[in-house]
Amino acid sequence: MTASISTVLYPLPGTVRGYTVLKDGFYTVVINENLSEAARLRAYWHEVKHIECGDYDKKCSAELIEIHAHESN
Amino acid sequence: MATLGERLKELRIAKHLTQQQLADKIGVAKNTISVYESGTRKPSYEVLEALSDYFNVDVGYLLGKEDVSTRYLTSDEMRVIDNMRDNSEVQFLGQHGEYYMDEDARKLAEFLFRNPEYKALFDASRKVKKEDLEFVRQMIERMGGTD
Repeated sequence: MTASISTVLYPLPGTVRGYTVLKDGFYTVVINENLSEAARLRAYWHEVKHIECGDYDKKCSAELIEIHAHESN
Repeated sequence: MATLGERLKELRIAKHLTQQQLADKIGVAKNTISVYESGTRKPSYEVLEALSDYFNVDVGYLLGKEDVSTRYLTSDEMRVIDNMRDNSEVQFLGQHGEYYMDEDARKLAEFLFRNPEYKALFDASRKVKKEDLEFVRQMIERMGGTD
């Protein structure tokens, strides 16, 4: 799979480790700058798995996607 | 053996859910659950998987081919898990299969995923609040994620 991904570090609220936005076929991954390096990598891995697994094309709820994502982490 | 419609209704009622609530949980229209339960239509495999995951039962059980499903936890077992959840940083899923603990946060997360203007997924704590996701929503707007 090939995807265009740009990654940004930004101070986010403590309960948000990261998020990814899909816009015009490009993914922007934002990782919470306040996390440790290891936690940043885990958050980045979580976001990349969303992209790899085709989660953005799924019809089920965002919550169901998160449940699957955290089970497979 | 029970039919898929009977199984689905039985599982839904056991969780005290209306057809609308179940439809929202798995991302289909309310009428869809109704036609599944009445046997008018059969779900796609993708929906079957979503139902199986949500109810924590095998697809075979849902289809009425097996009589034994995953058992529910006893109240004692739930108490132990609740204590672990309160005292641990480990991410536990809710006892009813939900991820987000805050209803408003759940709705906003769904909105931000479904709305093509945002199309966002998160790595967030189960305890995330609506305000935290609102911060992200505003950030997406500032970064030009919406037109």
